[in-house]
Amino acid sequence: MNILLEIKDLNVSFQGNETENKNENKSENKKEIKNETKKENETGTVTAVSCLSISIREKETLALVGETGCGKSVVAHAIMRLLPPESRVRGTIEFGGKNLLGLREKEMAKLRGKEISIIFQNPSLALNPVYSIGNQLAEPLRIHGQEKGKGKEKKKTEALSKVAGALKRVGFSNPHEYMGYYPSWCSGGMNQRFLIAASTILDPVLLIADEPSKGLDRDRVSELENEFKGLKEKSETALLLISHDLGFVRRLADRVAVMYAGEIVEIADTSSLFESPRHPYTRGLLNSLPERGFVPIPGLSPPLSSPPAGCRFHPRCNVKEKRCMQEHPKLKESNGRAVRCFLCP
Amino acid sequence: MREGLKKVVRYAASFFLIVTLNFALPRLMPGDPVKNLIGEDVYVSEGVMEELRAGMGLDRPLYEQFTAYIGDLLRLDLGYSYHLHSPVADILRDRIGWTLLFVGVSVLLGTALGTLLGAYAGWKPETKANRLACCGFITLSCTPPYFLALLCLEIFAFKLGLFPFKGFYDVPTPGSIAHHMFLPVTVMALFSASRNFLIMRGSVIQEKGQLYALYARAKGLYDTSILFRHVIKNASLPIITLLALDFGFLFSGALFTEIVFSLNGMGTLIYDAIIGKDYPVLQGSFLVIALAVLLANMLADLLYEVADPRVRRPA
Amino acid sequence: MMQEEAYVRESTIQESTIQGNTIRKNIIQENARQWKGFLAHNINLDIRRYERNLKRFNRGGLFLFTFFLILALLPVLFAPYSPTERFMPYEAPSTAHLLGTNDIGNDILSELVYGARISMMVGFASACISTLIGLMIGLFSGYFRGTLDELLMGFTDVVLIIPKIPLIIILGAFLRPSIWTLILVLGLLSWESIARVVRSKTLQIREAGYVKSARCMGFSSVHIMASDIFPNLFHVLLPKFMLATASAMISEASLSFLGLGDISMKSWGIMLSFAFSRGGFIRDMWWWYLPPGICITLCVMSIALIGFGFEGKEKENGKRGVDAE
Repeated sequence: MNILLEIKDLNVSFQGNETENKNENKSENKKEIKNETKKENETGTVTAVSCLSISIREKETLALVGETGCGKSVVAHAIMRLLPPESRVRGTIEFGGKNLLGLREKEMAKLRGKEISIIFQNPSLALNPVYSIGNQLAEPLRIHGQEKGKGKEKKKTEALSKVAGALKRVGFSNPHEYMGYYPSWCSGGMNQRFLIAASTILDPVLLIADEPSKGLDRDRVSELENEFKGLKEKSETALLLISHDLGFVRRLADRVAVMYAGEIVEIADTSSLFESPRHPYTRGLLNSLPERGFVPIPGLSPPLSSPPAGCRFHPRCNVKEKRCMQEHPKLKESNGRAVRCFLCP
Repeated sequence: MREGLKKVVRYAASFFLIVTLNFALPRLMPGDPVKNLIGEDVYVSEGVMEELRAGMGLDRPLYEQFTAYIGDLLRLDLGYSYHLHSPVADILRDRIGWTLLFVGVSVLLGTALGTLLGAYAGWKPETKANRLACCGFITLSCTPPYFLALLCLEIFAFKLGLFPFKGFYDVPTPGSIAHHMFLPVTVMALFSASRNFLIMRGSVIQEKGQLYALYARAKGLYDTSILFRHVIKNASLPIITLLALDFGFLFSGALFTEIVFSLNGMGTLIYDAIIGKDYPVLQGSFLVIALAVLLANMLADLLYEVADPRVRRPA
Repeated sequence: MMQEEAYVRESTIQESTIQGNTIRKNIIQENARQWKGFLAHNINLDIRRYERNLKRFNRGGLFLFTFFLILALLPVLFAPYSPTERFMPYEAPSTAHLLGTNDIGNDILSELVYGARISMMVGFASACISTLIGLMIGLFSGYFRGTLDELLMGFTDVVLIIPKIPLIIILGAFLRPSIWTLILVLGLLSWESIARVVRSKTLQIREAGYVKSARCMGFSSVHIMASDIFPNLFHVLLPKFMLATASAMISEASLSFLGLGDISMKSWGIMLSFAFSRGGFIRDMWWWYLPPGICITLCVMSIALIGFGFEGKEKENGKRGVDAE
């Protein structure tokens, strides 16, 4: 299968000058502010993602898992080039033969929503409160509307039928009623489905789902799962699934990449990863699942501004050796799997 | 529904308060109520005074006076100006049209200007031009409106002779009116813009960090089209409320501008009434202005209901 | 003239442009909560940049304000003559009279210097009154909630709709023009936005742990309001107080222009009004009408900028306060 998206040596760092960082501490140490971009005390730059290389094949589902704050979402935003201006992104992100990082903003905007789409984790906030659902769903059609010759009216009816189709696909039986609704009138689960419909309405080649299951209850998660499964069956879309919900990932993904402190520590097929995890961190993660006894990994993730020397996981690792504390392990590949650990073959 | 009822009660209370104030002021203020009701500099003999006192019912109990007053109001009788020798309602009817036109045009222009510039300034707050605009509008909002009007009059009408400095028109043609109104409207529009600008700027700075703005970018919109298609509608919601509250302020600002530019509207009427102590005219003007502001507020409430789907959430 | 709502801060939008509509208020508060959410660093940066700007403004404002304050407190140091001393009328600027003389021969520079005291006094005194009223109403309404809250806030909304300047004009016309009535009227008519802000802050504070524990320990409501809540309101009151001062000064200038000021106490507004009505304008004596106008603008701006600065600081403090809880 062809490789659709290839990320090589992606580095993302955030810079802020001193005063900003000071202010930041007051607000950002709180949980309300999202994970990986945490900028720590007086030190200038924070490297949220370092030397990350992954690839996604066509129609494949790749899951990116890891704890909150390990840089998963930054990867998603880096692919879409949605990171705030003070971030520094290095490396290459090749998509369909083009390096996304080299594109101009205008060219990038043409890809966004049409070829690469994203689903944010907080659907009720991602939808604009003052526009109707129908309007927002039709928006990608308007932005990327190609056919020029047709009259306005015709375009409109066409868009309407497309929107209705998209809504039906995500399980709304009477789409025309919902088109007149506003996000604030609907529940979070409904908004999530609207968001999926909006992001997939143009059949993107790559869909990024950024923690789609976060904040949803069990029933909703399984609903969501069915939707993604349906999506994969019906369309050609490749899916980059970002999540910390391992059960969810296991049921959906073809391959899984595990991230820790801004690095990939293990990549493998879903089945082999869950059956025989190699990296101690992956093992720890799996052991912390409720069905495997709820054994937590001791300690906390290191701050991204000052990762520990050597293997980034060593302070929490129970099988560490001396060299783990001094040398930084490389990602070693062997028959389809890759692990970043000295102790694994 | 309860909210709606509450609003109606509040508007009714405001209305009542305005009317009561208007009724009570001349009777409570120090001095002879008759004098307060007809105006201070009117010379009438003692006999006429007594006649007036009886005629206005000032010797009757207050509640009777009040019902009589309400009755008068319902008949649109706002009293009689002994200075201008004409019923107040007639005088106001002549003047208010011009003032409303003046205020209306400048508010519309000012809102459009302030909102757009403010939105842009909030979208890119770090550029030099926007910072300069911000400083400029802060200065404007700190200047008394009539001082600004005076400066404009001095510079553009007297020094440069570009515009006439008096009246609404020489000959009643649209061209002449536009020429005469240009300066006062500009001053008022700048003023209303300075308020909208600051609010809008803050509002956009707040709204552009919302997730929906990022999602709009993820959908393929870029740069200012995100601002115009997504952020601006959310950010301008506070402007609606501001506009309503501002209506009173702008109306008063317009009065001062009218005085400076000698426009024959409410402002000059009030100015002359203050100088001549023509209380009936002052009271009538207050009533009319207050009711106009009340109406503007109600309108804004309705508009808000239309603009923000969150307020009219179905049950 | 200028109601405090003119100002840009989010909290101001939140508090004062809203009127009698709790739904709307909730939405805006909700928005405020939301923007802190996802990718908050994005805007935080902007706001911080913006706050830094304001701090710079604040320093400039503080400098200007100190200057005007010294002018107001020690006019003797700056004024070359007594403001009532008479020279030749309508003189152009010269070394003897840096800003010339007016229609009755007073030295304009001296008038200007002495005017600072009066203008600023009107502003501060009426702001004191309105802040006090606003504080009381907001505090009671926020602390006791329930029916009292409904009534007080309803009243506030009702008063908010009444256009202030026309009302002040009527009152000013009925009452003898005197600086004290002016202060009283201005103070009594501009407390609404302060009451709103104080109320919402009180609602927030009364849920804090230390207030709850004070209530559990059986302290009286008055004691809790005075010793636990009031000190925490200071951060909100200060900017509001400054903005109220600024707006009162503009109102005073505007009313003076209409001839409703106190002629015996020559404020900048009255100077400007005289320059307009007594020939300074027609004779093109820019040294007569420009200085008081510029002084009003600068002084109001310096006070408003300090208000902005306080508001910015209040925000940070607020954030820290939330942290602590």
